[in-house]
Amino acid sequence: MSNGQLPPPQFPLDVVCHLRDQAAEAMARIKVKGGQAVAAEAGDLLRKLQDHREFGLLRELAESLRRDVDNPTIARRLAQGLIESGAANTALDVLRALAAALSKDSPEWAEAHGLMGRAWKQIFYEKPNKESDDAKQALRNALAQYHIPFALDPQNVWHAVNLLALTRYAAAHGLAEVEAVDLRQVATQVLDTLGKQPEDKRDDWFHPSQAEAYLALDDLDRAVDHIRAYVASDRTTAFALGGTLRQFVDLWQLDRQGEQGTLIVEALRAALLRKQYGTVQVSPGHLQALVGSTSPSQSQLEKILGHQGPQTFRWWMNGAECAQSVGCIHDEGRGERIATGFVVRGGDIIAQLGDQRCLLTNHHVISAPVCQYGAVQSILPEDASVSFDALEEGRRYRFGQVLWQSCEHDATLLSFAEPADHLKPLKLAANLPVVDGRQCVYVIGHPRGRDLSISFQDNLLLDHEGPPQGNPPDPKICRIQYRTPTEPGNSGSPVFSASWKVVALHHAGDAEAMPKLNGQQGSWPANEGVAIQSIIAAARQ
Amino acid sequence: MPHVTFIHGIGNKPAAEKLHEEWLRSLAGGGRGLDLRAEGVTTSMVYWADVMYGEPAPAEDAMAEGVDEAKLEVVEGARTTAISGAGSAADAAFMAGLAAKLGGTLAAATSVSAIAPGRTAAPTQVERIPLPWPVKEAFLQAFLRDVHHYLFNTRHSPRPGVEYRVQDEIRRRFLADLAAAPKHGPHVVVSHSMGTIIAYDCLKRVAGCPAVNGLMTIGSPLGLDEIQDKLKPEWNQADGFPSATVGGDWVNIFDRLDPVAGFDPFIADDFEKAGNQVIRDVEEPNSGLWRHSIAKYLDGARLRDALADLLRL
Repeated sequence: MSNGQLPPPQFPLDVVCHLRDQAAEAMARIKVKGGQAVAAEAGDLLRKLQDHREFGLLRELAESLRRDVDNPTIARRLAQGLIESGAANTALDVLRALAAALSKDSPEWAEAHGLMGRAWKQIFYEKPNKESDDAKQALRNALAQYHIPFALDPQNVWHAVNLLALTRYAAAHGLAEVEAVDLRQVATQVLDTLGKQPEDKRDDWFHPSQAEAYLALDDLDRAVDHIRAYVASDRTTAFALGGTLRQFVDLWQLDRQGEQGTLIVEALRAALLRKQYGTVQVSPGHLQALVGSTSPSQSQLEKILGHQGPQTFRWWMNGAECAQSVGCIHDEGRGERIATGFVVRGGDIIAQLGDQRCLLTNHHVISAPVCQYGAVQSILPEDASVSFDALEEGRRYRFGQVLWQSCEHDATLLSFAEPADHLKPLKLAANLPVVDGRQCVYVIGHPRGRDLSISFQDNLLLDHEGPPQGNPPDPKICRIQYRTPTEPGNSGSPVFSASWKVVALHHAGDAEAMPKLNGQQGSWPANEGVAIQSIIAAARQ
Repeated sequence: MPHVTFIHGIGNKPAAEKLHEEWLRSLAGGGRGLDLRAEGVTTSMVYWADVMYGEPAPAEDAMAEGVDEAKLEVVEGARTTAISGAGSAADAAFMAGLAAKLGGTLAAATSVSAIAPGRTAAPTQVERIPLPWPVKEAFLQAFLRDVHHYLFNTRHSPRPGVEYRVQDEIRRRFLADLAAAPKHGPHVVVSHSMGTIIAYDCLKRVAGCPAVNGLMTIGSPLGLDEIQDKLKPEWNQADGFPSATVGGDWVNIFDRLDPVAGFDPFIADDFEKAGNQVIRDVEEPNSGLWRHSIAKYLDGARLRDALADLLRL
């Protein structure tokens, strides 16, 4: 480059690495020169960290800055980071202080109240029983906070949109004591305000806000038009789309509004998983219904997802079918759900096993004898069972014997103690995906084994030790690393390529510092799996 | 890890990286796409459009071969100048023969009758292709020029200050790309249109050409006598298969209404291995008016299955 600057990063991995480097460099400068030294560029950097869900770094940088710089935008970004990383109550403390210190004329005052509404909405989301008094109070608080800036200025669109969604939810659930707004009036106001925005002034929320206003007016067709535009935009991140999807399901309850509503939600799930870092959580019962349902027509899908809609939806359906072969492993002694495992054709691992259905999971989950992995101890096969909740409810399969196990590969292959021929084995990939900074791998599992939901995570492939560039320290073990900003804890999960073939067995993750592969120095936030072909090679020795 | 070396066909193309990306995207598209990168297959593209054309075509023309099917017209800038005053009787005969055959299949009047009895493709009701004459003419001119310049190793200056011996330059690029491919798994050449002539020419006729494990020809004119005549003496019917450099299978994909392949789309009997027909001729029925489109071929299920087999996926 003639100006001596590095070219801007082009691929997602480059962008993330570049951002992390920028944040580290900014914090180093703050230590030496104080927060004022980076104040000018901090706003942009904090926004990018938020867009890329680097909430740990966002919080760290914002906290460092706040020691020297009294800036409401930095405080707001900190609060956003806190909400998104599970600290909504702490965020409320920051926001209350911020709102109290600002005059009503400041745009940050309205933002602070809106974010308080957002924090209360998050607290409401996280209540397992939405009918409990705590949940209702959180809902009331959220409504009250969103209402404050809207009452002052009805052009505060995002506050108004949340007011609509929460009011509709409260009405649908008979929460009569919650102060209501006139949905039609507010929705019309929102559409009027957005309609007057010049095209170059529209932000990323232009289309979803219009969609929600039309939902409030019970006009699904027009809502769909804006959903399509929103999904199609390259600027719509998985983070944003995930938030919208959650709003559509948890508040608008679109999936309970007939065939069209259900299809919109399903199409959005498909689109979300296709976005970088998309995470979709669905109940096993939902997956059962989805796999057994009739495919929507091409025109229906194109209406919601555009030209690529049918392809995206078929891809999601293929993933849903794979999820039926992913099981939740139970510790029968403790009565706990502990990890994940998946069905394979035994012959694909050890030729002599032919078509026998087997289960593959981590050695640190099940082994014989038991093994200690740091603080984790595996359990014996006779103490474990597996359920395939997305295939059949309530049935647990006990295991026969350990057919093969390897501590080094963190893998255990188990036979079933009962007939399992109806279980569909997953396809195993012959190769690992190309490492080009753009490839994604997908993890299906039961995070931490604790949830009844099944999680689909889109991970960016970071590196692997396979050909052509791989140089594993131990040639017998080929590992693969990938990254998702969502929670770790998918022990024993299959890691899929975009073709829904298993490329690895997930076994570890570190949100801060996983040592890099191929003998490289340093560490990075990463999840790690053992390449399936490496497991096959070891099992066949 | 398997590797695919792509080589494109006639007509101007967008910049190499864009074209390469479009081929990968077309293969991966649709419900049962073959996503080579997800399958761990590395790829490269032998790019030679700049040997023939002054500057890259616009990005949106990546897969069009100079024909805008929707508007039934020639893409802006895709028109080439007809070769005038061919230098020798051989040039003239070559051009006339090819033009007659391609002109015939462009009219689609003889494509079924041209397929001899006993061939494996199922009979089909051939539709007339109502392409306007200017479209046919422009395509024909581009095809004739590119093929002629390659097979006759013509000197050609695509832009001021640059001159190539067309065949020498393209051969050099093809061999360099093959040599640079990773050596960890099956290596397959996937060629389209005139790219099939280049691939065959290099694999069969150029000393020191690196060996590959498989060859796929798509929409190929290799069945035409005029082309085969120019590949002699290395080519002969009974031993036309490039056995020394293609260690595995050769799959030939065609649409019988593809004007390039349509006159004689079956090539197994023209490129035998020690007298045996070993090439798998696979009919891939494309849709629409313009059947030579690489985008349509790469979208086909039979092509994808055949490629997955060649790559052992």
